[in-house]
Amino acid sequence: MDNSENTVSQPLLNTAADNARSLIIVLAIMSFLAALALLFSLSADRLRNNWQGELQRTATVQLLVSSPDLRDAETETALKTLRTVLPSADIAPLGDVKSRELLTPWLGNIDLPEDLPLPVLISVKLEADDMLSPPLIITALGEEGLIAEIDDHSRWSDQIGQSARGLKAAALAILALIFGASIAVSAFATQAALSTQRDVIQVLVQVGAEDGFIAKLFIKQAGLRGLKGSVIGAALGLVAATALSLRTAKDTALLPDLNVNWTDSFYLILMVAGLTLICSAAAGFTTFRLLRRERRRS
Amino acid sequence: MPIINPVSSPVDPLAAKPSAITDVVRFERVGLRYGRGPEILSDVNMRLARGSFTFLTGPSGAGKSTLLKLCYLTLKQSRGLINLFESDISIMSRAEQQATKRRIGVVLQDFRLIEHLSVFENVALPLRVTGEPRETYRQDVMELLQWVGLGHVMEAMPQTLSGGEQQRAAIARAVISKPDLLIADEPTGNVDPVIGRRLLRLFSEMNRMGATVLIATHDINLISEFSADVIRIEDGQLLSGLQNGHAHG
Ligand SMILES: Nc1ncnc2c1ncn2[C@@H]1O[C@H](COP(=O)(O)OP(=O)(O)OP(=O)(O)O)[C@@H](O)[C@H]1O
Ligand SMILES: [Mg+2]
Repeated sequence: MDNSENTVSQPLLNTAADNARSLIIVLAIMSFLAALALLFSLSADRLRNNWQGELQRTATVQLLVSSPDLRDAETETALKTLRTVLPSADIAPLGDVKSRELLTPWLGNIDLPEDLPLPVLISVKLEADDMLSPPLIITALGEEGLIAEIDDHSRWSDQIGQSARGLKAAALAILALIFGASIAVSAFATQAALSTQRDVIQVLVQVGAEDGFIAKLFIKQAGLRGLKGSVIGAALGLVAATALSLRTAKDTALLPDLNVNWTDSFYLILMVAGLTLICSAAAGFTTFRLLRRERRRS
Repeated sequence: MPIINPVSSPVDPLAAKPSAITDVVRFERVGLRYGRGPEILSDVNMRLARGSFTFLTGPSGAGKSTLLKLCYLTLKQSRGLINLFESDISIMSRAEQQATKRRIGVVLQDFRLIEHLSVFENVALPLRVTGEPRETYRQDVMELLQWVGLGHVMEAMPQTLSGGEQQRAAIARAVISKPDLLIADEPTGNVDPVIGRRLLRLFSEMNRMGATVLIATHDINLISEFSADVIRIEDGQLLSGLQNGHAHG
């Protein structure tokens, strides 16, 4: 007799008996959708950060000159004050032409009289990490006897923040729904497997297998299938999102473009792990529940 | 006279010392009905002493298989008391029940071999479910298969075996874990008389090694050839034995 015989155990569950492939396909589709939702939510987040950061770092100071004669002098004082208060910021007057341009949306394309007292506009661009404090600037200018207003774009910034948060919430809700559906799919599949493999289970119970032993078989099986399905889906999702981001980068699309980032793969791996875990857990719970129910019946 | 153990341990059946056990199976006024149907068994009293060899006989539909199912814990009695290895089965936890099942070897008429597992795997199953590493039992399984004459078909799938070979595989699975109680339901039903006799000799062998044996059968000839207790069941009642046997309790 060859001693190398029978060294590897055959799987106790009949893998040919149930529809493993369709389950994996369904899980792959769900994982694909989940990956897209996740990548979308991540890039919406990034986009909001970029836009808000940009907006929050720029502001426009409107200087209301007290008389046309003092215009140049007061502008000079204001610039000097601003440079003292915000030493690292990029501060520049917008100039008359630019100021008039900015007024056209409100006043129309009419020729404005030369002596119309236009406010002096000064643009302020902060360094990356600085925060703007409008009251501080107004006080500083006020001490020099200047009257000014500041538009820090906070209205726009808030709106962008709100809609980005909305998009993110929607994407996360979709993600949660997909996870919920995966739990149901795995539970159903386990239930089906338990009934197609009823004979095997009965023999296992008869020879004294503990519930945990039987549950472990299904947990392992469901976990492997969940892993396969979700890896396939996540990989396809990553490919699709990358393709989309390459396409939208060329066109100037209105929609926030999906710009896939390498750190996103980390979240995708987490998602795959999560799907695998819930598939296993659902299979385990289902097995224990059905074994208990079977026992009550006899 | 029945020897009643004053302190029957209700807990871990494995904890009980084999030498202390006198009754492997004890039924007291056991009744059983399927669902809302009539009582198939009523007021059954039965005792199987440790090391006994008992035939269970009776007409078809009398309840032989039903009684065996109660013994191997696949059915729950509707009323009455059943003790296995001196433990009341109705108060056993699930884990204790499974531990008790691991002490019982069962051979059913339809063998219940798992189709997608080789003969070796089928026979190894009772050891495999204990979670022990394969190396600890691989040799034992191969030796037993040699012994029952299945050494050449270890790797074969059960459905490629003849009826007699399948039966030997089922029996090998029942005895591989050296059970304290061996139960067989019509084990000679499907095989020719020669094989049937050889099989019974295997059971006697197990019995000599200490196992308590309970066999349900129609085969009067077979019974007459072995010196064993005989319990007859009729109309849901246990009757005292034929020939060389006597019913307990
Ligand atoms: N699962 C079941 N549900 C309902 N009734 C059942 C069930 N199993 C058996 N019975 C009934 O219980 C009675 C006893 O059946 P059992 O199989 O125990 O008889 P038996 O003595 O083993 O008969 P045989 O010698 O033909 O094998 C029969 O009347 C049968 O119809
Ligand atoms: Mg029967």
